[in-house]
Amino acid sequence: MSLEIVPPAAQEQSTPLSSRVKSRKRRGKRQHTIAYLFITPATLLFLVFIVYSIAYNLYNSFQGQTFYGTTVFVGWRHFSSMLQDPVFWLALRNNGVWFVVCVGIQTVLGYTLALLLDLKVLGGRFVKTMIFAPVVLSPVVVGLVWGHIYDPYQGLISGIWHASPNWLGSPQLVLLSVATVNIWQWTGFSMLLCLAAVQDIPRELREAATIDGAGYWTTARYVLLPLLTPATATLLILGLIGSLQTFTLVFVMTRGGPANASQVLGTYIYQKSFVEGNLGYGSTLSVVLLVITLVLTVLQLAFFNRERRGA
Amino acid sequence: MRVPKYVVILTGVVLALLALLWLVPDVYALFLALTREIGVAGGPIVRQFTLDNLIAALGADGLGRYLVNSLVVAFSTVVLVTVCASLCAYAISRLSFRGRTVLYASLLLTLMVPAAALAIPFFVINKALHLFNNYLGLILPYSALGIPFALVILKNFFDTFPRELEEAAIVDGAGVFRIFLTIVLPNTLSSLTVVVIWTFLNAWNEFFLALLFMTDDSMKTISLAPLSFQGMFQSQEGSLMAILVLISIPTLLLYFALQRQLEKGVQGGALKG
Repeated sequence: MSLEIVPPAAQEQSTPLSSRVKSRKRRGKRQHTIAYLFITPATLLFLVFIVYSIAYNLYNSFQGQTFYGTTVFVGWRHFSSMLQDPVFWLALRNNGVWFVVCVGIQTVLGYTLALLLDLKVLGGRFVKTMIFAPVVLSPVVVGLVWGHIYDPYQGLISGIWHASPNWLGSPQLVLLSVATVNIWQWTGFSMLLCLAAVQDIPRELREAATIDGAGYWTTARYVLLPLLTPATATLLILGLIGSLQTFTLVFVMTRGGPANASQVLGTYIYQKSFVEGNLGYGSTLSVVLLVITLVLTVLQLAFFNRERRGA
Repeated sequence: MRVPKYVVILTGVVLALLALLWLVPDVYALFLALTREIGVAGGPIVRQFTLDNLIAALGADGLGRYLVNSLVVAFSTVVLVTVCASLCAYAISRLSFRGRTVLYASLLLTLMVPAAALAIPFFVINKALHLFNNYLGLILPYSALGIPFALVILKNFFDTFPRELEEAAIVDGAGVFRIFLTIVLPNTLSSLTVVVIWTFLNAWNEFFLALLFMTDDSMKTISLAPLSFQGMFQSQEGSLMAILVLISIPTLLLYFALQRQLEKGVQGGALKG
């Protein structure tokens, strides 16, 4: 991956060989200068808003502080109170449940839809469009519309099923109710990824299997699925990142309630930092969220890389 | 592969049912936006077609202002992300400089960072720079968070772009920047479209940071509009739904107009990245 393009100055074409060595060195230097100019804007934004921010969170997680007040070093106090904070554990568990439910169902639905769409039935284009459309909608809009659908008094569901439970009011149901909305919004995304992966498999391979006497379902199970591991890995990793980023839907639909039953780390950080004004504790939660994200992503990547090499 | 006829028919039926199921919330919102209840005491609730909700929504105070704010923020973010990411991706793909691998890897890590985990530092930065209720207070963080995705898409493209064209230009004596502007960029349009659409959608729909930094009504973006109007239209769900329908139209239009590029972006970007 070494450099191929070296911009020679126009007059260098006629310079004698003896001075070429020197000018190549100079060209290398100029090349570096240009490269640094090219990367400066992106790097600056990255340094200020990402690197500095993470460093600030680390620092601030050891500070006790009021909203506009002064700060005091408090050591590990935030961390130890976090470990004893039942809402923190609940939020963490909710993030986990969210990941398993959303990614599990979206992956199954995504592949089902992809395999069905791959048969090229009439109206497939329309189905694809309709199922993907929610992806471009604002989660605020989606949350409010679904909030109305779930409404226990005049909602769509209670209008059809009069004895239906209180979807957003029941601590047992609320997380799954909101996760369902997330699945509704993002299945189209999974579907497109799955479809690309399915259509990437050469047709000859599937036809060869059919000639060998394998039926449609056998082909799908033993020829298609194993080849879909990379796409599945992508789905899981994107799903993991998405789950840990969950904020808007929960905030709009329940604010983490009732009684923290639908609290996730994102909404809990908001609650602690900007409602209760405990920025130090908020930073501690942020640091933990960052570490969890990083560790899980790296683990997943390592796992799938090994799988791929092993296969 | 020959597919049995019953499978094809079954597939069609299942797909049609799923598509209908997926449409229910959209149709429901439209239905509420376009009808009103006519009260019959004790009797069943009857709804009647009306345009009043839409008219009330269109006349809602400040909606135009929200729209303008969102346009300014989203377009500026798109420009900043496109410029920064394309320059950086080109340097990483083509030029040699110290720290190239480290830079790319660390920018990629940013893809995973949840915005909620950076909300406090962003708050502190914006406070220090007096960027509350200022477009830059959103444009800068959105760009920082949006660059990594754009970078992946563009670097993947540059990596597969044949070098011969650029090499020919070098022989003609063109500088790196001129080559980048006149030869590489015009050939990048399809990847750039993907970057532009996704960056625009993300900036347009972003909620958390907008909620924190745009506290003044005159500076709020469109994703904050529903919550502001929720109080105003408390008992008139039809008008609230009309607002929701209205503010969804721009992104849906964008989607229908650029559907193929958007889908290609989802597939290409994620599979290679």
